[in-house]
Amino acid sequence: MGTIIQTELQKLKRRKLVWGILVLTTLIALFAFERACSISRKSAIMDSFGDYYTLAFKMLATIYLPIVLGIFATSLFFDEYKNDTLKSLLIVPISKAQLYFSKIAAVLFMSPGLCLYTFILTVFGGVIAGGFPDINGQTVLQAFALFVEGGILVPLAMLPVIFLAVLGRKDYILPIAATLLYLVPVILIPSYLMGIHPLASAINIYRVTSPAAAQMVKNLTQGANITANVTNSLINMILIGCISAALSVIALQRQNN
Amino acid sequence: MNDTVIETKQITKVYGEQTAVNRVDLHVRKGRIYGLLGRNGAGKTTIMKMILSLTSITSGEADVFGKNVKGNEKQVYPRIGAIIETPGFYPNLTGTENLEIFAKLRGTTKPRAVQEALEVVGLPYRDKKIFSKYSLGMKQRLGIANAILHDPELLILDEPTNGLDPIGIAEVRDFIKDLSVERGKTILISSHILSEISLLADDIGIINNGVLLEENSMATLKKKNGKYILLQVSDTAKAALILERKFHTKDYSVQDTHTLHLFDTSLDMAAINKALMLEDISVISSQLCNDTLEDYFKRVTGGEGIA
Repeated sequence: MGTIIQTELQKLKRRKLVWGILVLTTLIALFAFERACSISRKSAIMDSFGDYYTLAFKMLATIYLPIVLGIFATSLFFDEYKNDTLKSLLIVPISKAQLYFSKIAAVLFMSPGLCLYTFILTVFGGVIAGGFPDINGQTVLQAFALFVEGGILVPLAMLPVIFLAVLGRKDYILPIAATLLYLVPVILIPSYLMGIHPLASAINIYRVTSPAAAQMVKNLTQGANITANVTNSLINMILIGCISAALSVIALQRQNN
Repeated sequence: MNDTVIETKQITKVYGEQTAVNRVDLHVRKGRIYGLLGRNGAGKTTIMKMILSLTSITSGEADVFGKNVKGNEKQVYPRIGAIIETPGFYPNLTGTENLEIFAKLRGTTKPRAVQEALEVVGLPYRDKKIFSKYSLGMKQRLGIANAILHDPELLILDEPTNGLDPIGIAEVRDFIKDLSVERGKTILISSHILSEISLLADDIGIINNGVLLEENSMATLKKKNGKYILLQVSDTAKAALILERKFHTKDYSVQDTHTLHLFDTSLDMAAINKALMLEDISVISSQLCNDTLEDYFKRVTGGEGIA
């Protein structure tokens, strides 16, 4: 399985999509940096390092990353059909389950990779922008924990959309439209969906990471009283993730090549 | 000893209400080149996909190395190299990088396997050109390189010369012949080009509209379709008896009640005509014919012929 995952990453070499994702991620970090530079430290929305890194994280993990991972995962499955490489892989032989999990592994590499990249840019941005009285080892570690959490939870939450990418194997439109539809309710009513919708559940989990993260979740939910249990949210994510993975493998196995 | 590498038993593939392949019995023997000849859409690719278990078989069975591929993938696939339809590769990677991926996935231990496979098909090793910039001919070559990368015993090549220029076709043909003759590979090759198959194949299967019309050795087919005396007579049954009794030959085939092909062309046509007429058999015509394989295929496929 290790070799298959390794080759999955090799296939990404010179991929314009990957470069595009990196550029956009950089832009997100730059946008947060610009906010940090232009907003006074006297303002309540940028008076601590927590405000800065949660701003970067919020933009990255709540909207951007789900969309990007949806597109990325779709392209990983779609391209095997488009390039007509699936047949060659199957007669190696690579099983459909191996194929699925190697793609998921690529998504799992991509997601924390982007989060860590943004984290590094954010820490440097915090130092360069200056004026944060609380920038220290502890807050940097809290930021690191939040970004890592996001890097792992977002792809897990996207497994139902990846299932649709498997179903719409020869079509980009269905999974991308599904990604957007999947995201909209989480943006509108996150607190009501915690423990039900994996992306909303992820937001619920973030809030226990650090005080700054808790404040970020409070802002995201517009101060709503969150009743959903963090453990239940995690169970919800894992359960839906497992069901989606199982359905994806079954769907792949039933597909003709 | 059973030397059959591929054996299909009545394999049928139905898509909706359309039967793409109908009860095909195909036998590919060890060390031989089997040419599957048919027009575009005749069912060649579907047969190959069914053999490789890349598509489900509606009914019938397909065995490779005595085993059904489905359920035995790990034992059977490493012994097979294949190109089905177009050779699929990653467009953002070079030819070498593409082959390195497949070599890694197959667990190829030979250190120079990729380089050697590329050399065999005449593609440069470590070239910087990415696959999306390859010409159709280069893509086909890379497909063949991938098929032979792990030194398989059996090659299944679906129209491997598609898109190649005449020199490229000749090179690939020679190379496929070498693989069979020098390295003892068993090869199942499909094509819609008669000349290609007739130059390459030891055995041939003619498929039309999903039905295998004929399976025979090329030598037998050539014998059947070389020179012959065409006799059109009032009664072929009686004529056949006379040929056997008076001319001591059984080297003929009765086409219908009035047509007979006599393959022993050393016999004297005038003497035959005289003998037949003496036995009250009307001779409508007798002529020396020289059928080409194409004429034969036209007849077998119901006059549609093959390119």
